[in-house]
Formats: sequence, structure tokens, C-alpha cells
Amino acid sequence: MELEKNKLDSNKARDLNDSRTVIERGRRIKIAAEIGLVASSKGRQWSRALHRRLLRKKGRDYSNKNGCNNYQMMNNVGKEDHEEGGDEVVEIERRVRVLQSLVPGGEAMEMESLFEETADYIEALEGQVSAMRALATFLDGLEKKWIM
Amino acid sequence: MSSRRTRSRQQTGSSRITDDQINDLVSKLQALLPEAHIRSGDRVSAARVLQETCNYIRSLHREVDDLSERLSELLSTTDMSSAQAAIIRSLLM
Repeated sequence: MELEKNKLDSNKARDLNDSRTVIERGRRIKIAAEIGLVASSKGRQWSRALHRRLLRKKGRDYSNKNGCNNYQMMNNVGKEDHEEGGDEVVEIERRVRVLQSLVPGGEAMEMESLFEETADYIEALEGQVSAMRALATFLDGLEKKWIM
Repeated sequence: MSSRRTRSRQQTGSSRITDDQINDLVSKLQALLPEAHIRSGDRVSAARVLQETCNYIRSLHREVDDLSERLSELLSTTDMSSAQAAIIRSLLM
């Protein structure tokens, strides 16, 4: 009986460490982080856009092969430019479009609200990264028996 | 040369926006960037600030990805009692 139990335990441990499981769990952690982002800034356009994106993801499978595919740049940037003020304007317009592609819901935003939303989005992301780092440090400490 | 050129921003959907407005908005963005990227004392072009902003957002995205991976690995190797798991859960809720 003891041997059986030990064998089951080691199977379970192996499953936990299975690389597919680890990758899949990583994706779910990322989604949880995005849910955290949405929950932290509910009044914001980017937050609502990210929320919609997460709901769409939920409708499909969790296992998006490319979890970052929402972060891709628009690939027709800079093609049809109005040469109104010369190169500088063109350059700024191009970079604004890139920024729009990076901020959730950015494509629907006008310049002024885009910048405001960007500021808030950056702060939220920084907060998210801080929280995740703290958790990682904590788990690290647990494993190394520094704490508890 | 006129110092107040107005530009129409058809791609972004807003109507005419002035140089001053752009500079004002851009300087606000600049204030957000980490010190290492652009020193706020410098006068930097709007294009540069926008570029640095985009780079910064991308790096934050990457950090979230990396941390997600790392957390997943930590969770798979950490032996945790149910008491410890309960504490972590209470921190996150």
C-alpha cells in the first residue's frame, strides 16, 4: 500500500512539472494578471476594451498559442501618409498609430484621450508587474525556506 | 514660418489639433517614462517620446509574460501546505 501511494504521489508531482502543464498554467496566470488589470481600473476605456478582449478569449479556448497576439503592431503603419507638415508630422502620426495598437482599445481613441489612457494604462501595468514580482519573491522564499 | 500649424488627424479620428496641444500631451507622457529612458530636463521631440512610450509599454508586456512563466514554474516546484496556500489566496483576493 505504501509503495502504491508513493507511486501515485510521484506521478502527481511529475504531472505538476510536466512542461505542457507549466506552459498552460503560465498562460492562465497571464490571463489572471489581465483580469487584475481590468479590475484595478474599471472606469477606463482601455480597461473596458481589455475586458471585452478577455471575454472574447474566454469564448474560444484558453490555450492561445500566441498569448501575446494582441500586442502585435499594426502592419500597415506608415503607408498612406498625408504629407501635410512634412516628415515630422508623418513620423508623429506613425508613432501614434503604433501607440494605438499597444493600448487596449487605442484604435478607437482620439489623440487627447489616447494619451490620457496611455498614462493610466502604464501605471496599471507597473502596478501589475510589482504585484507579480512580489508574489514571485514570496514563492521563491517559500521554496528556499527563508520564510515559514 | 508659422509657429502654429494645425494638422488634421484623420487616422486617429480627432479633428484639428495644434502644435501646442501635442507638445502639452507629449510632455505629460514624458513625465511617465522611467528616468533611464529620457531625462525630463532635456527637450525631446514628440516623436522620440512616443517611441520611448511604445518601447516602455512593450517592455512591460514582456515583463508580465516573463513573470507569468516564472510564477508558473515556482508554483510547480514549491511544496506548499494548505495553510500557506490559504494565505496566498487571501493576499490576492
